[in-house]
Amino acid sequence: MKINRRNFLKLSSLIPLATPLIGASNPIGPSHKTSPETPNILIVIFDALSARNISLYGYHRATMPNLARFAERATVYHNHYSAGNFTTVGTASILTGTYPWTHRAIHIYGTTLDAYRSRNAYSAFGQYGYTRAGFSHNLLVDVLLHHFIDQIDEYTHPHDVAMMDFNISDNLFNSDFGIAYQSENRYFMNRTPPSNSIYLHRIHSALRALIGRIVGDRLKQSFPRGIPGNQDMITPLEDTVDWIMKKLFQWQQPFFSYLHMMPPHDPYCPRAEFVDIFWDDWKPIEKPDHFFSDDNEDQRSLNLKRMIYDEYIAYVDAEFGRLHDFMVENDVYKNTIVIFSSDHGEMFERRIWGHGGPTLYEPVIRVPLLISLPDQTSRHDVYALTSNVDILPTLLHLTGKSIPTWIEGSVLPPYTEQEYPSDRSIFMIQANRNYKLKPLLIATIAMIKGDYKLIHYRGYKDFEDGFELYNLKEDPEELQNLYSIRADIATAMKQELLAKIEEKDAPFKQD
Amino acid sequence: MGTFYKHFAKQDLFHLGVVCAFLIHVWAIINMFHDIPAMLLYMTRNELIGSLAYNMLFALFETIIVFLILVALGLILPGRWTRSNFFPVSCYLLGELTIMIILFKILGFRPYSRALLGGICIVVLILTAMVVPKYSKMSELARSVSTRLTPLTAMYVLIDLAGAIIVIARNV
Repeated sequence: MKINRRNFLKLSSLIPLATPLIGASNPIGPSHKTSPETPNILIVIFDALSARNISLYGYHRATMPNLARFAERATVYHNHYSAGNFTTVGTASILTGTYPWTHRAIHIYGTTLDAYRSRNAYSAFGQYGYTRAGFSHNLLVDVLLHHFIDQIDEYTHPHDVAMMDFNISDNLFNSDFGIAYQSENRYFMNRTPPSNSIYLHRIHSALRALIGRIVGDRLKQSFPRGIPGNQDMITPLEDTVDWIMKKLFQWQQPFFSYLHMMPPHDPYCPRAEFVDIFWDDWKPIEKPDHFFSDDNEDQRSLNLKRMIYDEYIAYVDAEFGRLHDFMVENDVYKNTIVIFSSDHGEMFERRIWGHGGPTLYEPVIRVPLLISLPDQTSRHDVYALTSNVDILPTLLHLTGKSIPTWIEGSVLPPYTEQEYPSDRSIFMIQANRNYKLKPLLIATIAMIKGDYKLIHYRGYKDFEDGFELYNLKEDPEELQNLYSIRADIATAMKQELLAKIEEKDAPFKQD
Repeated sequence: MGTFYKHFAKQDLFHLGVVCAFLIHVWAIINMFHDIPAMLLYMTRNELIGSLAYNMLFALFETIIVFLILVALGLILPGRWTRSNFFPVSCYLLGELTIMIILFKILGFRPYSRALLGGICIVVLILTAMVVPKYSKMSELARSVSTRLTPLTAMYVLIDLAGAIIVIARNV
């Protein structure tokens, strides 16, 4: 049958009315496709967000009042730790439910062992009919997402949400993103040692600076400390939150969605209304230097950086508050498990700034975790020791799915039917100077058990292998090393830790 | 086309291309070898080859861009001057600029030193541009060096093309 232009235009005007019948988009409100056994799952990660800098966890600066509002309908975990101190490690542990010495994504541009391409949150929920979505500002996470790409139904490129993106790899070499991105970084980016490019790097930098300045001038009033972004992208959080709001009703339900936002990772660029809100006289406790302290840092500059970081967290909180309000108004919480967390923290002490270095002190590994179940209207607080390897098994348990044997995490309280062990040990590993497929010879490995934390350093040049022991309950600032004082606890924990390392190294030892 | 060859002799363009490619590739390859130990920590053999392939492809791309920029500059200058001086002057300027940029990268001068050194570099470049056309021996030397670099540079370009094939294969 031929349709002429006039009839086509008449018919096309009826399409919006027909949409609910053809199920082309998901209606606002509870979806008919979700059920108590298959709620939507939304994991919201803010990069480099330390629990130590969040007002909800007792920080004296009011950095996250909106998170406190979300907490009123969530379970708040007060002793939650990332298994690593930089993005790749922490994110891989969240997505696979395993520790770094198992998944082996222990390098900056690293990926997990191939076995974990089909042993991750995406593969786990895919077999139960979930639409699996992934997005990240942080290109290191995109390297991981590309590693799992066969398991992801809807992957969103960072450039689809960024205001500007100067990266080549995610535009030209998307099928081989992991290797292309690293190569692009090595060739074009200024770094130590110098980039592989002589001229193009300069041209690229000049173009970035020029365009960045044009955009920056437009946004200078809104972002006086600089435009939010990293890794050659300009990514105002507002745009990303707007995008999330849109996608919440476009993803086919039930969905499993992992969303990884760059802020408050440096550079710290808060919106104008948050600048100088924490200009106060407060000074954190000055802690002793460490072998790995940076000679170029001093406490004064760290205090200033911390203040600006806190401002940036307040900006993150405002945007999360906007998302939270949207989810409340549109009944998203009725049929969605919402998780708020971070991949690692940030250090501003012992003349060490940032994350990813050889130390595993509290600020860089203790991260927020809040879990809101569908229709949850009250707050619960959990003080048990938990790890980000627990997120995946907990989600599987909450949705009634079986937990695969390769997962190392535990179901979090209060969701576990069994008693949660009070003597549980959790681990954090920093081993980016090791070969991926060899035993961990150069590493910092921490173990927390009960109130105590044991940190083990091994294999570093000019730094003798050794241990530090802290009582986190009595000495949360980790000022007094009890290793030689509490020999009983130190010996027991050391034995357990070394046995664990031996066990985990065994598959990678060659005869 | 006539205007183009009014400015450039074909051989000069070829020699300039060789010099561009050599300088850019040498630095790229040196750094590439510097990076390999870190890459070996976590890459498989295929991933390592892929990474090296991208490096060579980017080097080829940079060579083409720099070459085209130089040619564009040559087209702006008077044809009579460029025809006899374009290659030797470009050659020496490119060589000096490359060394300067590498030194700046490696030594990482403080801002006030950078300004002073930048000024000195500009003076050196201007002097070079003025001196080279006066001495035919300098032009002969540049051509001689370029001729000797040709086989090595041809090898680099072949490796680049192999890299391009590997990159295409990895992305298909």
